[in-house]
Amino acid sequence: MIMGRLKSLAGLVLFLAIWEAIAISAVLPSQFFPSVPRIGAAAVALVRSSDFLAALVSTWELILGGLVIAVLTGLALALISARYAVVRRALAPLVEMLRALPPPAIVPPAIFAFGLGAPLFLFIVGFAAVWPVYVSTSNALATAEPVQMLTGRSLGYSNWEILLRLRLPAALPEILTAVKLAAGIALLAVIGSEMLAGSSGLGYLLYNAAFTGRSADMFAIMFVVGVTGILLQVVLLQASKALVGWHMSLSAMGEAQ
Amino acid sequence: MSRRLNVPGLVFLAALALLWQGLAFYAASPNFPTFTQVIGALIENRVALGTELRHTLLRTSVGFGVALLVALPLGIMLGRIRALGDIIAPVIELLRPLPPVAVIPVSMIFLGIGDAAKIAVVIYGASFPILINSIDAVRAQDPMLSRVARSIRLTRHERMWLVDLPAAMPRIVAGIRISLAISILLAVVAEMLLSTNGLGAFLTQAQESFETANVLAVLLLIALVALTVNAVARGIEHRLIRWHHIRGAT
Repeated sequence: MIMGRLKSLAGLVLFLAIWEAIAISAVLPSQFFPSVPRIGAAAVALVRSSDFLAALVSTWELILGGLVIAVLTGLALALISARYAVVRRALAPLVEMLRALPPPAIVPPAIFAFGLGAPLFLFIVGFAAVWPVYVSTSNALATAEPVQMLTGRSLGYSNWEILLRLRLPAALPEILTAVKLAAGIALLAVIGSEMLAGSSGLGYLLYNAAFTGRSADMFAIMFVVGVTGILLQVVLLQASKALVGWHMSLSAMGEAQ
Repeated sequence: MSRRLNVPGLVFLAALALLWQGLAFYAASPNFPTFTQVIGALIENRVALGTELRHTLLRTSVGFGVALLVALPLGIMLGRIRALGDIIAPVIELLRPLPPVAVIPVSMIFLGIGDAAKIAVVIYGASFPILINSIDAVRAQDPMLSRVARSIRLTRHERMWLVDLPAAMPRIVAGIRISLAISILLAVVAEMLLSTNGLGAFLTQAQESFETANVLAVLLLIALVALTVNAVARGIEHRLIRWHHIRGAT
């Protein structure tokens, strides 16, 4: 464990050292490739600036709001498709087509429908993140334990009761994995669409910094975006531990044997 | 199973198209073209779209190809040489949460808005799934397999080519398929932001000149291209690791 931490630290130090070496050696022009201290200074100035907090809040709101929309919609659709097989078959080709679209490519047509406000970004994030939730959930719901289903039947459960009280809890681990995947896609969709059509948010700040040639600021904002990605996964990991801790400890027991 | 015609699916798609046609006809707004107008726009712009499609596919395939050539051997190496992998892994873990579209600005600063900038973005984004999956695949090897290989006295070289690599194949191929999807995504988004040409640039230009039918037409084309590439990749995957699927089925 300590050895692992040391190696991780060694990796990070190595990364920063190589970065600094490139910056000092001036292989790449220094106005484009700032040194680590300059990026650090830019990050401090960024965090203190007035529009940063607003940008951070608005990006997080869009990610979480879009994710909630995606999870609720995806779960509802998956439950209906699990209950009525014909719905699942009917949706399949459309879902395949829509999930193949790059999320930022939805921006141009969505602008016609929503204009340039928060609803536009929420729609894009929701649209991008709903498919992994729907697909994984309906796959997980479809592979329910026959014994559980028969037990439910013998207890006199209706089809909906079997779905909600047996199949849904059993699918929870897969659903949470899908939510983590969806969160990564939501972050990509937010940053991408803010770069394309935003007037605030981290993606907008990032693109603006690059466009005006402020490379130290740009790397500092990228760092913040990266930390956002890490925090998002940590939050979801904690949430899934709280929700399906029973499953994790069971599978850990299985591995130990 | 998948070869059987999905009747409800096709009926639903047709019904949606019909509903769209009806609503758009009734709304009669320039921002809401009918389905037939979109198909018309697709046919009308077929020459221009063909050219843009070639640009996009070229960037996608060059970027993906370079990523494959670099990330696959690197991933296998990092997976086999555990100490090296342990040092590099945190760097990968640090960069992984960063959405690949966020490197488009970096690419623009260093390489401008030409082909090189867009291809660099594709290379960056396409490398991760291949790299991560090949490291994991090589590391997560079944100890029983290597014990068997050792006990039948395979040389180190034979072990690598006859046992280790085939065992790692399913996961590596899955990574390659994800990476191909990301390549198309990044090529299109890079073209949207660093507009010169390609499907992404066509998309933003059509939006800026309020040609909604063209926007939807190119979107339809992008979806079809992405679906086709994905289907081809799945086909190749099935051929490459058929033994894996057969074993899984029994």
